[in-house]
Amino acid sequence: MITLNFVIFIAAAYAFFLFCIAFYADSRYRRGKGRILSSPIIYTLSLSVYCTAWTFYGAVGSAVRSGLEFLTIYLGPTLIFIGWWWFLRRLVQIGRSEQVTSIADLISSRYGKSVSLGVILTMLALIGTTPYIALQLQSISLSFSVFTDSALVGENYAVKSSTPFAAALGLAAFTIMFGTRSLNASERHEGVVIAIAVEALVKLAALLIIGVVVTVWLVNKDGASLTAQIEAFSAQHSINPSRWTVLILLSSFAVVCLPRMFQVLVVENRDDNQLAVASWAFPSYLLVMCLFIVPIAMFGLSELPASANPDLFVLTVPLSQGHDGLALLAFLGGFSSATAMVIVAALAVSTMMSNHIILPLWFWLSGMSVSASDDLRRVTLIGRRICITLIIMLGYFYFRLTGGSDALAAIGLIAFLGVSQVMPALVGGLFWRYATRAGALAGTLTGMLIWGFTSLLPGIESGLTSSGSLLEGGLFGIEWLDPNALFGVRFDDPLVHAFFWSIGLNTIMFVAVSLLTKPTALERFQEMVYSQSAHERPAMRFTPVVGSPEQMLVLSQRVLGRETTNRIFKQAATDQKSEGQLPRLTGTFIEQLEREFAVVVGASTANAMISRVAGQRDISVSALVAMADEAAQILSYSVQLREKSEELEKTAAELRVANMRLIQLGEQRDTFLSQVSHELRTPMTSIRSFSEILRDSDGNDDAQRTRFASIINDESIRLTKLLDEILELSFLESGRVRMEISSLSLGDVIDRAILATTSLSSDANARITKALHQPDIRIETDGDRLAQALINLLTNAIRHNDKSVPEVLVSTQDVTLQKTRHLVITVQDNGPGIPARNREVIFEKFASIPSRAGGKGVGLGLPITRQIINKLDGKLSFLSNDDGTVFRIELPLTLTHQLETPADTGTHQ
Amino acid sequence: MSEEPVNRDGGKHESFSRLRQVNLAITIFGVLILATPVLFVIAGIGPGSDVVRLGLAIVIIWVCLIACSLIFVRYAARYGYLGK
Repeated sequence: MITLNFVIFIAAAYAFFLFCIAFYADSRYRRGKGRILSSPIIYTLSLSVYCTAWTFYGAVGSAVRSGLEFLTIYLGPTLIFIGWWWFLRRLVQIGRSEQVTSIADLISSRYGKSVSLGVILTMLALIGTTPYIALQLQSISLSFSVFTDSALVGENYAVKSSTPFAAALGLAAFTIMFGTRSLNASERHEGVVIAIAVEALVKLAALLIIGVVVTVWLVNKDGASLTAQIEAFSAQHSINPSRWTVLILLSSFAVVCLPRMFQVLVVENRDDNQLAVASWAFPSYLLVMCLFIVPIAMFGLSELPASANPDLFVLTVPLSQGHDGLALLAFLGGFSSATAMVIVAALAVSTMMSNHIILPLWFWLSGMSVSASDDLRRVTLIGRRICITLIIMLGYFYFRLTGGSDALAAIGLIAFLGVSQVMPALVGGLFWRYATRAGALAGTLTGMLIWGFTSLLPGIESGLTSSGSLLEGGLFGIEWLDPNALFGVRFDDPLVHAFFWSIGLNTIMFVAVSLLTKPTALERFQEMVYSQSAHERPAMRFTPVVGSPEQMLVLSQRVLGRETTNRIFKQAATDQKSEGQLPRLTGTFIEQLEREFAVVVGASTANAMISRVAGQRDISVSALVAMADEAAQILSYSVQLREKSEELEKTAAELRVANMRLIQLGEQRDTFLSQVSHELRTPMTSIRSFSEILRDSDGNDDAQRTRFASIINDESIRLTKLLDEILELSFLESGRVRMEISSLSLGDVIDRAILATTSLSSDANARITKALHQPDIRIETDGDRLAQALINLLTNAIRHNDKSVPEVLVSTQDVTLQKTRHLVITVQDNGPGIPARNREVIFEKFASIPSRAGGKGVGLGLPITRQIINKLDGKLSFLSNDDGTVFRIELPLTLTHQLETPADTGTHQ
Repeated sequence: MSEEPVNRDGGKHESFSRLRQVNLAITIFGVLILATPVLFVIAGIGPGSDVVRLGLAIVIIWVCLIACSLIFVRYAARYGYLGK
């Protein structure tokens, strides 16, 4: 059997161990070796401060009394950490960028650095935290008392013993030693955090080991007994759905709004990665914490006497089985849970009290004289230490006052509901631009009043008095002021009732008053700051300041200390290129200074202090105009981005078209090579065949040899001609052909073309007629090329003509096309026309179209002709039907010079 | 999902929005299943019914949510939304 003295010794040794750990972590950090403290795992473990003695011991008690309802306290934070990750991320980012010191600091700063809002939120935190600390002291006391009488825990011992008082003193000393080492409230408390992380491991290990052992005991019992126990446990409890939902909501609000949780979640956060790991690791921690609650509860119910306190089953079950070591481990787990909560809560609330109540009060009482030589740092530090002692002692006195009654058991949920009144203002401040300070004040005050009336007051009254006469039948007998049925509306559970009215009316008032009031310029500015990330933070501009740099220096030295002040002022003077030692009080410098002040005394107090020296610092009209300019710049930037995006899309479309064209060209090249090979192969085959006959056949007569040689010659000529045409087309297409422009007579060019086809026309008995609209037209062009184009057209007109007397008319016209005068040359024949199906491809290379007249060429004439006309800035087109074909050459008149001479008409045959 | 540059400002709005939508979906799923009477309907739980079955259902959903969160923050890190 473990004696009480031994337990006290173990507790003292454990406390000493925590002191050593904290001291070691602090010294490492001071030497710049605090890397382990940036670990996401340490951060996650420090979040376990959520699991207090109320959850460590009380979860089993809750399972005994209400079945699985205890799970809700863990499910709420799980949902917040997993589902509201963006919200938490925004919160920690603002916390880091604005160097927030507490939840009251964050909210009051958002709403125009409101002092009144800061005071109200601090009072709310204090009211919600004090009974909670009392609960931890009670659990410590009860856990000690277990070792005096393991069968039945006597409350009288718990209250009357000196253990809670000693524990309170020890916790106050620890918090003061490691929590107020530095004045910089936003600076991380390494010693405290590492001690909390160690305690988190101890309580997790304790609960896990005890849970596993108890489960083994449970399973080793006979099967029928186990089944009966499960059935009995199931049958005992029913779940109230509305209470279940409310409890989850409440715990999810509390995990963000509880001062101690905000301290470890936001103030102690270093980067987003810590939060990213915590988003899955913290829910996992909570899951493991509650895995064995039900087995412990079931075993305790079956093995311990009915009078045993279920809240202490974690301790009494191992003791009842004679496992003192396990009981001691459970004691250390519970002790860890309680002490961690008290330390962090005291630290967080003391910072709030110091920044939002004591300092403003002290300034008010001392008249805020900036010439006084008092070191404000010392005042703040002492104030914070007094606050820590005060908070913990308030918890102790509350515990003594209520006599450790059952009222404390429910105080956890009441505290949850109290701090949750901050939630509408917090969420609204972060995500709703129209939220105003008046709205936040109205909502929070309403929520506080309703919570106090429906939840806190009945709890206190039932703890203090046996009859509850004050609230019997409603306050002062007024029926609709019944704390359990406010406005005559009754719920099946008092907590659901209190939650509905307090959070509901809080939210309604917050929204309604925010919509009815207008935010001040400072609120608007803060809203901008809070809605943007740190690197997008707009620069604040102030109205001209009235104070002197010397006054600001004195004030700064009092708040920040001489060394820090000198460094900041020196840097600012250098940045401003100031001639003197002191910088000018520009808006940027004042803003920087206020941020430094806020780290020490909170945003609202810093704002008030700076205003004393720099004058009332409402944002000026010019500053608002500047802010509007910034917004306009952002808008302009957005428009530019959109234009650039459209431009990029257009370029992409052009690139797509170019790509398609490249693909087409590639295909055309392949087709061209294939066609060229084919066309070359035919004469080459013929030449090779006849040359082999000549070589191998000695008996052929001369006539036959001559015929074969003629064929070889003809084919060679055809081959040469084909190669010439290919070469020419290649030159034309590549643009390497240079046009030799000279002034010449169009009639002469046409005559030359007609003359070149004389042999062909004679053979075909064709008649070519020339009809010029003017007798002599001087034209500036490349005569040879134009003649070549006409020869090609004339050749086609004769060769593909099936008439007995093919007729070709070459005529000219002077026309105006699109307001520009052009010279048009047409070549018209009376042939059978181009088949309709081939009309689209006649300008394609090797589109050798067999005509109805039986004529067939290589298929390069027309492509060459079109290339020539294009090079002469002209256009070649055609019309064709069964009565013939007309090719039309349009040449711009700008290259032509007409001579006024009589018309000329001639026929060539 | 392919590796993307992790510049916090450039061209990330689409992925940012997608991540937020996924987080919202997880929230809705979690709240609907765990915090409303849907849980009791799914688990067939009423007064005096099977606590073991309800407990198992909750633990399974809980583990699923943790897995979702683990995957989610990995993608958030990949998209470059975790900063100092």
